[in-house]
Amino acid sequence: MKFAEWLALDAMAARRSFARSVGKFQLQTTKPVAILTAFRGERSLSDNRAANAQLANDLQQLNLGFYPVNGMGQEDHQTLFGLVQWVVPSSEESFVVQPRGAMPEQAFEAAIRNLLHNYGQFGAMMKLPSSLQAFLLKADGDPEGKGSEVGARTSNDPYYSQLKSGPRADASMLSPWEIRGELNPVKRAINWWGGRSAMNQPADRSKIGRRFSIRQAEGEA
Amino acid sequence: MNFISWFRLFLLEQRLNFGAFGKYDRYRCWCLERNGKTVAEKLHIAREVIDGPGVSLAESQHNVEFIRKHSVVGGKANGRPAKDASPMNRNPELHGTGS
Repeated sequence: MKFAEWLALDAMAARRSFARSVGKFQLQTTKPVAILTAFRGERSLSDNRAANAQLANDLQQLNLGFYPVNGMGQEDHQTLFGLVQWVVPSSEESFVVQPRGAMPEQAFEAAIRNLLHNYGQFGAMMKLPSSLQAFLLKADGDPEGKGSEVGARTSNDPYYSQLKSGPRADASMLSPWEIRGELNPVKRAINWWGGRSAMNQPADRSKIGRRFSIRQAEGEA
Repeated sequence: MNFISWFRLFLLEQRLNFGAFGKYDRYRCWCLERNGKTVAEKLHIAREVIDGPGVSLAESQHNVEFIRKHSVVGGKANGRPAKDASPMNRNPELHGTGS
């Protein structure tokens, strides 16, 4: 087997493996890792996918290994003094990125920051072997700590990554509205009005890969 | 005139709250970052957010965290960002290569 074939197999295994994906963000990690995307909210899906294809090309040129994941997040909104609360979700097709060979942390961070500038991104999630916590590396500004704990996503974690391949997510990794669909008629109307009618139905579990999230450990908050 | 401005701001805030992902929190975050307190300042920020680009997950995370820290440390009455609450200040060992 050639080295390139072995690398491709290794990347294929990583994109399916929950444990390997989580392990990249744990304390004992030996390589820097980042999650970044070229998606921008104001562009169409096809334009965003074209930008992501260009980003994948740039990552290859920089000799960085990567595999696709879905970056997911949801914001809580409320009105009438908190009497009505609803969720607005979003997702971005992203890449988990690591150097293929040995690469100094500073060089990796500089490469990621450069890509953030080139693709007009606000920031990327990053974990360095020398740092205790994973952090949000911003294109401009200081890094923002996000916590040293990484594990299966729970319904309390608003931001998380979802694997594209491998077994499907357990029910514990889903949000309540994904399991049963939105039942509250007021929230159903708000979802419909906001163009999120799909949230009123239970999610198609066959399309949801396993999810992991980075969070603050006890005492870090 | 004042009531009309206030009502315009109210409508814009509702539009942001019921609108696209991340925009309402971006509005709240920018109001705090820029110390926007008056109706005129908030109207300007609200229009800027409505006309501005979409919000990414990374920015949304930053905005939510900034608002949370500000309301915990600074209190809503204090319009200044809570510098002491930044993770770098809380834990200097977090990441020493950022500057």
